[in-house]
Amino acid sequence: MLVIVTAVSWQIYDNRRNLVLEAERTTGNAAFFLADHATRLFEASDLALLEASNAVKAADWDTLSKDLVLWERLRGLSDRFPYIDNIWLNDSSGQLRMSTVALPTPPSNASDRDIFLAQREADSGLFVGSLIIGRVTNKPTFLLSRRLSADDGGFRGVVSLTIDLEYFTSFYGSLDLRLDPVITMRRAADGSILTRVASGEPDPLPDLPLPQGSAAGMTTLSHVADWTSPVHAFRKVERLPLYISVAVANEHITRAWIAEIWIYWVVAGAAGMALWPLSTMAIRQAAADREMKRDLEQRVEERTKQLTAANAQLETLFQEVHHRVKNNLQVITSLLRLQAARSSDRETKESLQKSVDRVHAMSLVHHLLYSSKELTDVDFATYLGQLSDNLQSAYGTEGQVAVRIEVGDAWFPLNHAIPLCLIVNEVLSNAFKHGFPDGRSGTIRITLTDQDAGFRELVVMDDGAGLPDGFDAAKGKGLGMQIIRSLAGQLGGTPTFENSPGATFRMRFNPDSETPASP
Amino acid sequence: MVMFRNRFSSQLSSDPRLLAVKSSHRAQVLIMEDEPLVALELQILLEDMGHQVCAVVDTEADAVREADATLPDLVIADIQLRQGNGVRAMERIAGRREVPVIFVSGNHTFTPNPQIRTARFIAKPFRVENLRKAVADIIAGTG
Repeated sequence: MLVIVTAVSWQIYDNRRNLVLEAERTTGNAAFFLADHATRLFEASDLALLEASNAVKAADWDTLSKDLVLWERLRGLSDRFPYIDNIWLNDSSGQLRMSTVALPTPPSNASDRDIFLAQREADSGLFVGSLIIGRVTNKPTFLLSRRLSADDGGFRGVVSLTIDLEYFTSFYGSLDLRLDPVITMRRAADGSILTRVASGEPDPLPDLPLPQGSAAGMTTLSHVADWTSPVHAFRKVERLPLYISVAVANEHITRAWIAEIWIYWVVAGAAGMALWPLSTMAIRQAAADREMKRDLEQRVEERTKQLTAANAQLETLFQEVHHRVKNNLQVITSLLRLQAARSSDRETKESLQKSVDRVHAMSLVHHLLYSSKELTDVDFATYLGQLSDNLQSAYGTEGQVAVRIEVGDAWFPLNHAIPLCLIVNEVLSNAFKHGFPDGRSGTIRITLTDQDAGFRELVVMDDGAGLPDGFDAAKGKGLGMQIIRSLAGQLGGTPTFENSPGATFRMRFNPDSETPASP
Repeated sequence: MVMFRNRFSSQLSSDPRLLAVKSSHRAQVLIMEDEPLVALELQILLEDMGHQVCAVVDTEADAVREADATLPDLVIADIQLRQGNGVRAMERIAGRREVPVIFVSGNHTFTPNPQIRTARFIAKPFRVENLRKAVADIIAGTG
């Protein structure tokens, strides 16, 4: 909408500006041509006057006043020029001696007229009289006069002609110039109007000032939004004391402007009317969109709060579960230890202690889960580190045995982590317990490698004392071996023991497979 | 409810890892634990170490009351009790009397309270070695 308003506003301004320019062009050109036109007409008129003046040189007034041939000749002259009304011959007293108006010559005296007086004083050349009502014709007119001189230069009289204003009126009126300019012919002497043509209506323009002395000029609007100043071009008619003035009234410009721009308003209005519901809709839509967006954001915020709360709840729940598990494991541990303390049998005590150790291995998994905030998956490398620290501490082999853990970034879900960690606990415990007797130092190396088809291989090898002679993992009846075998099955794995360089435990497994791997 | 106010006669074990430690000082120990079996084990362990368990409590309120009554040299506290918790109990006790405490808990998130003179935090299930060392350190004055 705004675009249309801006475009239309510019168009409106530009339109008026163009009209002003057009008015200036029109008035300027018209003034030029009409001045030229007047020049030619009056030059022609002057020739008629000269011819008439020549014609009367020969004889005296009395003779002349009866000369029919002269009258015919003068008549011919006046008829030739449509703008010449009549030719008049006045003697030195002002009396009318002959006129093309009628024959016999009607009595008339021009001695009070400016055209006569001006020539009587001195030779005024071609004199333009002021606007008068012809005494004989009763029509408004003005006269051009020339002096009639005797051979000795004395004043003999005046030859004059009346200009047919009708001619100019109809001529100027016929021009049909745009913006209906007012065309004025004025006397340079006093600026009085000789003829003024304004189209139809009452004259919209007051008399416009003519600066003295200038041959041509123009006044125009001071700016596009000037609602009063007319556009006025004037030009002096060459060799004659006459000015042609062409002026366009401001109202005409405004009228034309409105006439032209109303179409824009109609179009804009129509477009606006078409667009108005659209823009109203657009505005409403935008408001609705904003509302919806706010609503959506609110809902997202609420949902996020809910999810965060739910997540927090879940986390709390997990932590609670882990906490309870650890408490339960503590109870079990305490029970086992109490039992061990009660038992006097060394083997029993040791067995119970092993159980306690296994419980500790399991609880370590939970501890890791609990602390890592993962809640479901166990970081194998971290677990192995902590388990080996605990075992080192338990077996007192710190500084004696080094443990290298090379399992990469392996993570296992809880149901795989428990069996895996218990297996490692068994193997490592054995290594610490039997692999380095009598303070023997060495290294235990734990590796986990990815193999084909989702299988992985866990290897725990040491450079210690090695397995006891005749050791057979498959047939081993000790609880430890049984635990390892059954847990390996849980992982789809196959455990093996080798005796190089120390004891090497190897297990290829895939917890996601149905059947255990072949060794 | 107060459990095992009186001394429980324990059996010394010959297991190398359950050594009875002759401590330089026979400490009065207050145990805060709501699992009876765990409390029992703790009591046995402490007595094996040569200390005396003056009270075993399972609620926060009892803990504060018994602490006032028995004036223990050491407190072994689980954080989660049957009613209330061990940390708050220690805050209240610490307000009246400074007593070192070993928190033994399944609770992972433990933020030390500067008000309480916490000697140790041991995670459950605890290793006997760890507890023994902690107790010995405190009693010897280095905790």
